[in-house]
Amino acid sequence: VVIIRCALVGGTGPSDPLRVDLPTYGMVADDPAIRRAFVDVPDVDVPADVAAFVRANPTPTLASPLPSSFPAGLAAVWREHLARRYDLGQARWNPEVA
Amino acid sequence: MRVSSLGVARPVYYDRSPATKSQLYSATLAPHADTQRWSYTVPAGYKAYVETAYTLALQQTAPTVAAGGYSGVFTNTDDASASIVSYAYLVSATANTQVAMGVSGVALLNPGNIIFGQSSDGSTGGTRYIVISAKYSTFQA
Repeated sequence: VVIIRCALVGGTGPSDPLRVDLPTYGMVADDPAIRRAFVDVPDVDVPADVAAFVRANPTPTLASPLPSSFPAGLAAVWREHLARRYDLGQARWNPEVA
Repeated sequence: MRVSSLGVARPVYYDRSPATKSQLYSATLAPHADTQRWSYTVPAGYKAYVETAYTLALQQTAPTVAAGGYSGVFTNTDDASASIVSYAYLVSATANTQVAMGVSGVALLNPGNIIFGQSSDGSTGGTRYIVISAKYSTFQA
């Protein structure tokens, strides 16, 4: 697995809980106030370019700033990777390194 | 010359590229809004059989105002509706009270179906120890 600090989405109630916008993950730690969580994600769900970005931008705590903002191009690569692997449509998941 | 039968049976599900997987979330938490703690989505070409699930909500320290909260495992099925696999709901003003639920052999999931763990605690003050887990096997559809 890869540990990634991601943005939390949702939060309006039981059917729209605070969560990470990924098909498969396990939450390690979260901070709803700043809407971030460390999650473990299966290697096969993380494209090599996204994994390289995470390695190059370490975030030791939930509050520490992300050294560089997550590029829109990489977000699109991740979205398309998940769409192919799960075959459930292009716009299903839109995870963001935060 | 080798002759094989056209009627050879397909291997049983647990012999079709099987893999066992599990999810476990356990933590002591202050009151919190509905939060998804883990999720597993069945990839294309696979199915999953959920073998066990367990949820626990334990009031570790007493709240100043008690309110409801839960530890739950749920699934989203082909029709996109959610159903409960395991659910422990607790309202308690007393430390060391708990609700737990364990189930087995509970669900067969198709590609795109989701199983996820979720919790909340609407109390004011106090802490809860929660456990949300599931074990499942995946295999070729």
